[in-house]
Parts: sequence; C-alpha cells; structure tokens
Amino acid sequence: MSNRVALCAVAQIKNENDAWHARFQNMLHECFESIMTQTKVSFDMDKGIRNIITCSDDMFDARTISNNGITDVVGAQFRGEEKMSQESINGLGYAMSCIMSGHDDVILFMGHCKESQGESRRMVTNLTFDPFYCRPIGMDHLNVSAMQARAYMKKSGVSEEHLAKIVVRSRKNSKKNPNARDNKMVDEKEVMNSPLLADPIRELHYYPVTDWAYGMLLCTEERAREFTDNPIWITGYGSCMDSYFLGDKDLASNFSLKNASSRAYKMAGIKDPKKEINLFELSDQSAYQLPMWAEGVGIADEGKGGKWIEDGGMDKYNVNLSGGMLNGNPLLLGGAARAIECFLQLRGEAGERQVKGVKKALAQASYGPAAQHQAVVIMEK
Amino acid sequence: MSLEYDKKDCFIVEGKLALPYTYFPGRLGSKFITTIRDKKIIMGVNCPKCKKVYVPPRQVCEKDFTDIRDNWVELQNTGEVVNFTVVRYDDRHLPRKAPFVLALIKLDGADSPFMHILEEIDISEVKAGMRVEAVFAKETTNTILDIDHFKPSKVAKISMSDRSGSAGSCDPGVGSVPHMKKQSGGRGDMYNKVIITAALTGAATMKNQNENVPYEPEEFANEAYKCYKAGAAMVHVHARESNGMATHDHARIKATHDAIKDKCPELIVNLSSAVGMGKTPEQRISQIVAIKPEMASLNTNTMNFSIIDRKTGKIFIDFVFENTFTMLQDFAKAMLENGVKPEIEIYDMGGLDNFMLIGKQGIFSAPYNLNFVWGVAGGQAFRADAFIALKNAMPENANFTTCGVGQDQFPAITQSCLLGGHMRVGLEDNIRVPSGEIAKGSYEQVEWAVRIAEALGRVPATPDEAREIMGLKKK
Amino acid sequence: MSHRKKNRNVGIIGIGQTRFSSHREDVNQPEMIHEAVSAALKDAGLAMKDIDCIVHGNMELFEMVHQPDCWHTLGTGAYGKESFRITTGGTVGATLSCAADNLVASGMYDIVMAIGFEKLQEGHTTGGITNMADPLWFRNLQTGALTGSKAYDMISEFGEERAKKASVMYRIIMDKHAVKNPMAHRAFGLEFEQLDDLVRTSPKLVGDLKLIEMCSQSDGACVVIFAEEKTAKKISKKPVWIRDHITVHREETFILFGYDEKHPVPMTHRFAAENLYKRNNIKEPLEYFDVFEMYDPASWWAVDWIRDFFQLKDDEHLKLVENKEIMIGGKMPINPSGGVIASNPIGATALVRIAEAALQIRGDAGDHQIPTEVKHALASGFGGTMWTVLTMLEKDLNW
Ligand SMILES: [Zn+2]
Ligand SMILES: [Zn+2]
Repeated sequence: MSNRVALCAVAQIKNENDAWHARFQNMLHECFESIMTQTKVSFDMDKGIRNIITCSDDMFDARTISNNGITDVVGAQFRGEEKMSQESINGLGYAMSCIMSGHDDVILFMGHCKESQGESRRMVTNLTFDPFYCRPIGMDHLNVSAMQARAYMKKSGVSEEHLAKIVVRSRKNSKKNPNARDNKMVDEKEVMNSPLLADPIRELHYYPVTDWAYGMLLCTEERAREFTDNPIWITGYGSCMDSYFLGDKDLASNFSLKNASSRAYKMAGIKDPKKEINLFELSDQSAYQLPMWAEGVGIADEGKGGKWIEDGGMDKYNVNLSGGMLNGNPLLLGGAARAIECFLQLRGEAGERQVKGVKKALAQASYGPAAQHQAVVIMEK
Repeated sequence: MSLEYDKKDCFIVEGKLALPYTYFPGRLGSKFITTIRDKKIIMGVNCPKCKKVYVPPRQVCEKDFTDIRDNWVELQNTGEVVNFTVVRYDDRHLPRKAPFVLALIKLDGADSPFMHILEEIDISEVKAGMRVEAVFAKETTNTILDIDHFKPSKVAKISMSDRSGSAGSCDPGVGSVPHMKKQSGGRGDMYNKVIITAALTGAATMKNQNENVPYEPEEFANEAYKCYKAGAAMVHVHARESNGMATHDHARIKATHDAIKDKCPELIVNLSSAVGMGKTPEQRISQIVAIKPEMASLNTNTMNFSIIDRKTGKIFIDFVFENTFTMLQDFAKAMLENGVKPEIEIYDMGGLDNFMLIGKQGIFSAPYNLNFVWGVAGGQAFRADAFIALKNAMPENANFTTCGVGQDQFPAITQSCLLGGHMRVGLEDNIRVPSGEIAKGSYEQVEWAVRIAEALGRVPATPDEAREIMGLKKK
Repeated sequence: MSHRKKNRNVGIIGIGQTRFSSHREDVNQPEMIHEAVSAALKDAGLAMKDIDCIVHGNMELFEMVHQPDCWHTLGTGAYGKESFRITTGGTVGATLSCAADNLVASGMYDIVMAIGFEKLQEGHTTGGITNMADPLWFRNLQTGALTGSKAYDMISEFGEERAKKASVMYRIIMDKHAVKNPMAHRAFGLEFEQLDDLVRTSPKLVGDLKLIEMCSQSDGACVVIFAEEKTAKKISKKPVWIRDHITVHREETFILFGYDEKHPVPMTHRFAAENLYKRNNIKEPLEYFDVFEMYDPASWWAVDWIRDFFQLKDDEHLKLVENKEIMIGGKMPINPSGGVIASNPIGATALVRIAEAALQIRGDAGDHQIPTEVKHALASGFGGTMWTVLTMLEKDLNW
C-alpha cells in the first residue's frame, strides 16, 4: 500500500467574531452537508465512513466530553468517533495513521470551536497551567507568548516595524479570502499605536477571538477517485513536544518546531524545503510567530527573522496568503485552517490569492504555552 | 461557504462552569510550598545527569527521566530577571490589577528561571538582568503566592563556582518540613548584606599621626558623612576636646554625636563606653545614659591595653584596661534600661566566655552584636584560625563584625566578610590604607572595605538594613 | 472496500499500572502518571528514549486542566517526542489503545506509549458528568452517570427476585476477583452467603441501583506500550497482539429517552460485537474467547451487556452469572481484575481492561490469573451515551 493519504474534500464556514446565533452543532452541520454533497460518500459499514475524527475543546464548549453533543451532526450514529482534543493538525496526523494502518479507508475529520462562548479566552488558557506554581500567578497563553516574543525579537532582530508590516499584510491578504474573519484594514502606524496587551505584544499583534468549524474527507490512495477527480496528497507529518515550565526551555530556540518539521520532511522525502515547497501556511497566533516559525521550518535563517522580513521573505515563500491565524481562527483550529488553505492552493481553487504552480505546501500549527507542542503537515498535488 | 442564517428569534442561554476542584501538589510540591511558607526558603531540585538545579521542583527530570525527587537544593531568595512582560489587561484569573509585571526570574543557585510577579518598581524601569529578591506573603495560600512577589534588590550575584556549598541536605521523611543544615560561613551567609562601620577616632590616634583624625564636632560630622557616602552604615566615636584629648564631658560628647546626626541623620552612631585612658566606670557609663546613642561599645575583659613598639617590643605606655564582671554587668543593665544596643567587644576567647557567663542574667537582648578585636597590645594578634574558633564559639542569634589594629585591619575584615560577617575600619584602628599610604580619612578605608565586599560578591547594608540586622530601633 | 487486515502487526510489550485508590494526596497529576510510565518501561525493559510517540488521554473537566498533556510532560516523558491527546469519555482508555494500534500499524511510529489516567479526587465527577448534558435540553435533569433504568428493564423481563439476585451475584463475583488483585481500589471480601442480605439491605442510589452495585471513583494511571511486530518480538518474550478493534457511538439525545418496547433501540454493544465478529470470522464468541475484561460501570448493566457482547439470547447471560461461569475458573471468566466496579479512574479505566486482558494472555496476572491457557481475549470500553469500543487480543499471530 502506498504511503499517500488522499485529502478529497474540505468544507468550512466563514470565520466569525461571534456566531452567537449558531450552536456549534449548526456550524458543524453546514460543513458536514457540504462534504456529503461534494463527495457523495456514504456511511456504509463496508464502503463508507466507519470512523470519524473530531477536534474540539471541552473548555470552550463548556461541556464535559463535548463530542457527545455532536455525534449526530458528524454522522457518528452507530459509527466510530474519536476526538483529538489537541490542535486540529494533530487530528490530521492521526487521520493519516488510521488510513495508513489499514484499519480505515475513509475518514471524516471535523472540528469546531466557538471562542466567543467563554467569558475570556485568556481565562481558559490559564487552566493549561498547573494549579500550584503557574496558575496562581495568572499565567495564560498571551502573557507567556509575550515572554517568547521578547526573547525571539531580541535574538532575531525583529522590530516593532517588522511586526506592523506582518499585521498590515495579514489584513490585506485576508481581504482576498472570503472565509477569513472580517477585520478592519490597518496601516503600520495604527499597528504601532495600538494598545499594548502584554509587552511587547500589542492588541493588533494578537489573533482576535473567532468562531469557526470545518470538515475534511480523507481516504486511501486507491479509493480517492471515488470521491474527487482532484485529490491532494498528504505525504508528511511530524510533531514534537517541548518542556512545560517556561524556565526549562530556551523560548527562542524553536526546539519543537525544528524537530516537527524535520520529521515531516523526512517522511515526505523533502531535502530542501526552500526549493521544494512552494507555499507555507504558518499558525501565527501573534505577529512575532510568523518569522519565528519561518525560521523553525527552515525558510528563514536562524536568528535572521528580521532581515528575512525586510528581504521580502513572506512573499518570496508565499507565506500565509490566507491572512494566517493572525487574522483570526479559533485556538486549536489553526492547523485545520492552514491545511485547508494549502488544499485550496494545491487544487488551484484559492481564487484571488491563488499562486501559480503550487506543487507542495506546508501547514504548521502549535498548541500549549509558548507553543510547547508543534506539528507540521506536508501536502502535495 | 458562509453562515447565512436567519437570526430572527435566536436566543442565548447563559451558562457557567463552576465546579469545585481540590488539587494535590504531592509530597514534593507540599515540601516546596511549606518550606517557603514556614521557613521563607525557596528550594530547587538538582539533576545530577544534566547538572542543573530546577525550580519549581519535579520528581523526575523531564530531559533524561532521572528520579531527582530527593535532591533538594536550597536556593537564595535573590535572583535575576531573565525575561518579563507587563500585563496590561484585566481578567479574573490574574492575581493583580493591570498593569503589573510578570517576570521570569533566575534565583541564585538555580539554573532554570521561574515566573513570578515583580512589584515595588516603576514599570518603565524593569529590565532584563536586574536583581530582585523575594517578598514573602503575610498570609499563606499554600501556593506559589506564599512568595507574594519579587522586588528590586541590591544584593549582588554571587559568582562563586562552588555549587555544592548551597546544597542543603534534608530529611526525606513523610511530609515533614525539611531541616536545613545551617551553613558555617558558607555561600549562604554571604548573601547577607555586610555592615561597614567606620571608627573615626579611638582614644589614642592623633592628628600628628594622621591629620584627618577629627577633633571638633564639625570635623566628626564631615568625616562621618564621607564615610556614609562611601558605604558605611555606622560610625564609632570617641569624642575629643579641641586639643585632641579624649573626653568624658557630656556636653562635648553630645555636641559631637548631634553634629553627626544633623549632618547625616540616617547613620548609626556608636559611642565608646571606654572613652579613653584613666576614666572611671561612672564617667564611662554616665555619658551613654545621658546621650542614649543607638549603640555603644561594651568591653568584656580586664586586660593590658598598652602602646608597645612592634619591632623592638619597647613599652611606650603601659596601661590596664579595667572591665570587671561588675562593670560588664552594670554597663549592660544600664544600656538595656536606656535602649542602647551594646556592641560586645571581644579581645579573645575569654572575653567571649565572660559575655556568655554574665549574659546568663538575661541582661542582653538578641540579636547580640559581637566585635572581634585583633592586634591590641595586650590582646591577641589576628590569626585566621583563631577567628574561626571565635565564630564557632558564638551563641545563636549573634552577628559578628571585626576590627584589627594596624596591619591586622584589612586581613581581619576580609576574613569576616568571607565568613558572612561584617567589617569595621577607621582611623581608630589604623592610619593607613592597604597600599601603605596614609589614609585620606576613615572614608578611604571604607572605600577599600567596599571593594573587598564587591570582590566577594557582598553588598554593603544601608543604615536601615544594618538596624534590621543588628536589631536596633531607629531613634 | 471492506475492513482489511492491518499493514503491520502490533503487539503490546509493556504494561504499567498504579494501585487504584480513592485518594493520592502524595502525588500530583504528572507524578502519578510517572508511576505507571516507569512501571510500563520496566515491564518492557525499555528506557524513555526508546519511545517514539506518546498518546495521552483523560477528561479535562474532571480535573479542570486545559490541554493537560502540556503540564503532564513532566511525568509522561513526552519531551522531545511526538504526541497525541485523545478524549472520548469513558471509552478514552480503549481509544488510546486503538490510536496506538493505528499509529504503529501505519508505519509512522515503531513504539508508541498510551497513557490513561484520572485523578477523580481532585475534581467533582458527578458535576463533571452532569456538564456533559446539553445545556439547553438536559443539563437540569441529569444526575451524573447514575441511572436506575437498566434495573427496571431487567426486573420487567426476568422478575424482581431473579434480576436482583443476578445483579448482586455479579457484584459478589467481582469482589471475589478484586480481592485477588493488589491494584484494585475496592475489595470488601463479600461472600455468596451474604447475597440475600445484600439484596435486602444494601442502600439504594437511584431506583433499584444499589450503592454497592455502582462503580467506584478512583485515582490512578495505566500505561501500555505498543510496538510493531519485529520490534515487539525482539523486545518482549511474550508480546500480546492486537487483532482488531471497533468503535461504535450513538447519537446523544433522541435515543436516550425514546424507549419503546415494540421498537427496541438497537444496542451499540451488540452492533459493535456483531460487526467485529463478522469481519474476523468469529462464529461463537463464547467458545472463542478465553477471558473478557468488560467496562462494567454497574452490575445491572454488566449482567445485561454480557448478552449483547456474546450475542446471547433470552436468559443465557443470567445463567452464566447464576452458575458462576463468569468467575475465574469458569467457562467465560469476566473481569478477573475485579473490573470497573472495583476500580474506576475514568481516563485509565478502559485501558486497564486492555492491560488486564494482555496480562491474562501473558500469564502474568498473579493471583487473579486464570488457571487455563488464555489465547484469545476480549476487552471493552464504555462511555458517553452508550459508546462502545471492543478490542481483540491474541496470544499467537495466527489468525
Ligand atoms: Zn536531567
Ligand atoms: Zn573605640
């Protein structure tokens, strides 16, 4: 059996700042119906979907085992449903393994998150921390990212001006993406004058609260043509976990991303990502992360992120033409959003933002404090 | 695809997730927190494999899976800011109102920095690399917030390579508070601030030996001020007449004392209860009772106190310095009654024993402040091992400083500084600086003392810090 | 294309469990996990560096830690490694095993460590489970995982005396097993002579569900290490092979309260077993399997589910219980470990079923080892609204 896993179809709703009118079940159902229409896939015990992988978060759903509430809308009535309660990109990695193992030949992969439901996204991420040493002093993903931003910006010569450039470009790109969250266009001055949240991170440097859902259909190489004429292949996956305590790691080192990407490159047989990969979608929850992750996946030289931006690296390597996570995707769903953008670009369906001749693309996402865990997926035409 | 819903008649259900949780920090975490709570000591664990001291503690090293749960290491309460952010938003999970500073702090003795709150500083002045110290909480929460926050600190980083010096051994018994082994003059003691005292005049040093010896109240004040500026926290004073003679005249002593306090209100003034040769016990103590300085010297044995030619052994002046047990007792009682903290002058081991013996009457208040005096003709000369013997013989709850006559001055204070003790310099004891030149004043010797402290990684105490160490109440 | 044989065979090569207990104040979460991790590594004769990937599972809201695998890295050993995290309610332990099996069979990883744990004492389990219900429809009605409806069904079908006695008989058998398992949380030393007394006097929770018939709330962790065939054979003297697994969920709302005698709701357990046996060509499961480690949250359910899992008719399942055929030494020993009624650290519980089934095949179960050879074992996971996961374990690679 070949190592290629086919991605046959994707579906998504538009990223919204507050989809108060829709339950997450409604959001998923939209995506589910779209996948069914696009692929005509069935739930036949022999030939159809036997296993569904979902990605969601009990904290944001405010429900214990919240996938209990979506069984019907993802088609899991008397079928298997397995929830990756992690970054959605890891769900993609797991979906690959289900197919490559031979256990399943068709996998439906769905996810949702309504960040707007909680009183405060930061409060949820405070709960990532242990209750003894970190939680009481108020650590959350934002203030911890600020530490990483300071360390990285110093190391790589990334300035306020560079960050402003990244934000302005993200907003511009998102305008060409009909599924992107509708954000106000800003200029560099506005970014640099936007209020500080946690030094050096400013309000406009940080991804806004967003609601979103998606669906994907994956299958074996042999069966791909049953569902689409134009399958995209997932050929590489790699992930890595870094230390938990902030002080135990070099915040600017990219330890976990370097490992994750080199594992994915090895699996996909990629020697030189700069030459072989045509498009990169990086989950930049905060502006500083774009050059940092670019260093991590090997398209910017280590410690040279600032210069890489000045030299036009973002456009040269087709990074985050979707607007990136910075424009708004919910926590844990950045990876799925990145992969969907790669899929659309590889298929030539990216509309106004389409790049010509994209043959290989990379999607990256992280989760945990200061991006403790990183994962990378390689997709090919 | 976008959600084109008909939003008419949609409503929202308010909900809340509020469940009680009871977390167990485990044996390791409990020990860490209770040691902070009860002993104000922060501990880390040492991984012998990666040779690193981690804080907060953990059972196994994440990097190599070595079991390190019993490798407790006592850390200092001081450290350095490695990284920080200013939290400028308010949220219910935050321990402070915005804006406040969260900092990654590398404690002295630890290799991994940890996060805490940094306060008592203007936010714009927070910098990576700044020194900070822990401020412990008044009320316990049994969390890391038993350290309430960190604040800026003047305690310099000790860069001695001997890590083992800070490894406290402790009993791994069930849930008990670890018994920290007291260091004897080790690195731990060196984190204390060092009190530098300048003895501006003795009974004998005259302007003909060093023209900077003060006689007039105004000269005392100026000299004291220079010493304070140079890093001294205390001055020791024998008042003089204008002709240079030591005096027991209350008015003159008071004028001298007050001139110093006027010029330099913060400085601690320590008056001599020896005054000079040939004074009666009554003359010696009555001036202390009259003036009530914050501190006064109290001598512990009757001894020869002479002037002898160091090269030839020829006697210039022979004198018996009388300090009987009765005097020791009466002086101590008078000082106790008048709120004057005695500086116990120890000229040899016998003097220390005298103090402890009379001390059984309960006429001294802790902490006891001892001064080991070296090189008096009639007392013992400075010897490093004798110093150690004195230090080891001290009672609990005692501070020690030291002074040495002539060439004993700098070796003695260096050893004291090294052992975590304090330092006294000044023209009373020595008219020169270590280079052999005549000192420009006691303040120049203070400058030398500060340099010694710096070289050993110690920071001079401010007068208020000195008061706290020595148990003085500011007047 | 129907279900195929896996691309690589996968064997269990290491098992570690903590002792299950109502309280573990002496350790925090990662420390407790580490106990099971180091036990499993020791069992496999491996060091942490040999592990390629970690699969972590529990329920966030039981301990209220968001993405707990981040903190737990201190005990899981995940630093520098690939990792996944799964939550599927009570089935999570079983899903961990399915995932580890898939991850190894796929060729992506050679050695994968599955870690299930729960520290229920730290949280508020009934509150946590009540939060499972839809906030709009059912949250105000639900009372944790407690339900007396199964007792009602069985009493209607078999009469009050027989049904109640069967349930308590099952409970006593589980206790007799638990007494032999040093890891078990609850072992009372119940005797068969007490059966009538217990039926009469044991306090009730909901309807006819008695306190003693309900599973415990436990703290504990379980770790199982999986490896591909070549590695497994090299490392382990007695690898236990994962033959197949099936997961069947059911929709939440409309079936739960839609009971109708004329149109009985299809049971996920029966459906899962049927499909699993069909694709593995198992005609008579009761004859084929030598042991069954069942996720038995309460004795009423357990007795009833035996019928579904083994595709039995009428009162065949009751007879198995009444004749003590489910005891160690009987025809179909069920839960020699004492089962979930004895120990229930939810995130680990279903993985413990796999681990205990594997120990039986290895012959390493100690005092609760079945005296005859165990070649084929079945393990189940249960959670959510009648979710089920079944796993087949084999001694030999000969199917
Ligand atoms: Zn180590
Ligand atoms: Zn004197």
